[in-house]
Amino acid sequence: MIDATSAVIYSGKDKAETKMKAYGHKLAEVGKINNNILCLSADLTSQTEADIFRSAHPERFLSMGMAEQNMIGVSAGLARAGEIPFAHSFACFITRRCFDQIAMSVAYPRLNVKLVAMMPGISSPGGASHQAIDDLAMMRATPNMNIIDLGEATEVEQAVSLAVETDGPVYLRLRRGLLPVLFDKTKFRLELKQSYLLRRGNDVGIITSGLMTERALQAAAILEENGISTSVLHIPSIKPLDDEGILHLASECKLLLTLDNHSIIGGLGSAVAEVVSESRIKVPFHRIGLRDVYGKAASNAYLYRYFEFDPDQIASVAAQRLEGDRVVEFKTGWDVNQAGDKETGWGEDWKDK
Amino acid sequence: MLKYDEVRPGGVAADMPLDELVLDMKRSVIRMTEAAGGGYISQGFCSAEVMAVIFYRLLRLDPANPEWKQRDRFLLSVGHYAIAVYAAMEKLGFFDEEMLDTYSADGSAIEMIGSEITPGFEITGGSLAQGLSQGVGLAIAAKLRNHPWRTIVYMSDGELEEGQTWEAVMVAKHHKLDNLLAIVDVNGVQADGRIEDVTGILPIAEKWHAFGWNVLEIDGNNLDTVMSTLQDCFIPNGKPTIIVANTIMGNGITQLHGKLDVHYVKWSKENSIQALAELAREGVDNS
Repeated sequence: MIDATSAVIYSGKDKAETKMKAYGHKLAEVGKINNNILCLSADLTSQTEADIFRSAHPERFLSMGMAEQNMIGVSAGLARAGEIPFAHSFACFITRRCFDQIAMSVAYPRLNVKLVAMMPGISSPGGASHQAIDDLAMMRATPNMNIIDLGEATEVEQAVSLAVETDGPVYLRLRRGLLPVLFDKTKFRLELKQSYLLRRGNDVGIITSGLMTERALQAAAILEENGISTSVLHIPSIKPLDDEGILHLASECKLLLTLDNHSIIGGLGSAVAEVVSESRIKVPFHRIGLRDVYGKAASNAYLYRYFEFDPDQIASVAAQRLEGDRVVEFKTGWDVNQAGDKETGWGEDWKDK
Repeated sequence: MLKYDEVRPGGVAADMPLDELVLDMKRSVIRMTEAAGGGYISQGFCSAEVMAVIFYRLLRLDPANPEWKQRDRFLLSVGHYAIAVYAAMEKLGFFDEEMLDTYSADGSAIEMIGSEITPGFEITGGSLAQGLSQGVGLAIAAKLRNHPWRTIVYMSDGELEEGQTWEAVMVAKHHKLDNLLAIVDVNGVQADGRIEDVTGILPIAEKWHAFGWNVLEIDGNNLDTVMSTLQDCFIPNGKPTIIVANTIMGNGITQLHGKLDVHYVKWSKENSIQALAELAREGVDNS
């Protein structure tokens, strides 16, 4: 665990700063330095920000057509020849459609393939077909796979280099487009098997990753206003996992809460449960996530509310569990329109400004 | 570091007569099957001629250094045919002859279904249709970086029923991979029975034609035909090439002829005696 409290530049109140297409620009930039980086896309090139690489390095962009299983195999062949292929699609397609290809063509031989999985969970407004709610479960169950779940611009930018430096398969689970900037890039350094303490408190310990981390900071601010002190532990590296960091947090809080932009089965919450239950630590525990249901097609703002991912909802659950599951009086001050995410998705905000 | 052009295709077997090499491979296949009490002997025998030409006349390999960077890439997509590949590799010096007796045994480096734990085995086949895609990747890399190697992917007819095959076929054509050769063994039988009774994948050659490949259809058990076809099959016309090799499951083993449940065969010493006697007659006929 790294104490990253001084790297956090977002208070959890008001709106965070934002940055557009952090991933796509960074991939093109790193591709300039490393000639072995190849970019593959299965007919979702601008949608996965791979179009920026295609414009910068057209000779190293490979169009695979709408055929993800083959794209995984081609990436494996390229990696066998010493290349570093980045294969792009939406998280749902690259995992559900290609699970066997990932296992047998990439992970078993531990090949240097980078799977870029865009728009995970309910960051896609596209409904059940487009929302990967089970990708972490599949990738976690795959031996040799490294998994990084990302939702913030600074870490997304660092993740490209980290993936290149990591020898072997990496699953990059990426929220796309307009991302919040939560961390000071001079003070935050993304690493595998690392966790980051973003704020320190004694009552509630929140474990989070990806786009849920912004929500965690907002929920922590609400809890704090209600006299409940809250730690936030951010874990982008879902695998390998910083077991020690999790146990440290679990031993120092009165309630452990995990946030998953994923099913509660098989995601970060499951991973934390596995680590804690094999230890001697006893702590009340609650998972927030999709409770064994599929997503649905709607705006992000609607989906956050519907699945109870909004900060006031998270804070409310935390307070209730902390008080022995009693309904507690609670001031949130949260405006459901505050997130301003109503447009995020297919709309205009997606275009580079 | 070895240079590609300085390595002789076929290595130590390059000057040995092909027909004798085929007989030798078949004897090794029988030996492995008997040692394991069963195996993919039908596949070993239907593919022997094609495998012999690939390994003894076509591939540039370095058995002393299986990872030699410039080597030709032979990808066995249909991992069940590994028994024939082991026979060929042993002759080239990839491993000792005694290793053949460990075919599919507990802890052995030569598994029942070919995997890359065996030195010199390029990929882990077996989950069918994943080989061609990887071959496409290797061929693209060779074009991109001017690597000298050629990529050969060996598949079977049943495998064509997997959708991934046709994704790869489409993409190989799009990327103009004339350094890629696929060979599909058409023996007409899959696990559930005759191909035409299981589903509608036939006719095969027409489908590859339609996808824009160079298509060559041959009798895959006729050694002369196989040799004349394979020695000159990389055509620099911007298209990948497919050889449709029609073969007979368990070719030359009368115990297996005409049977449908020959995907995996249980095997005893008595089976070997009969099959070896048939092989001996074949050897006399050829001489």
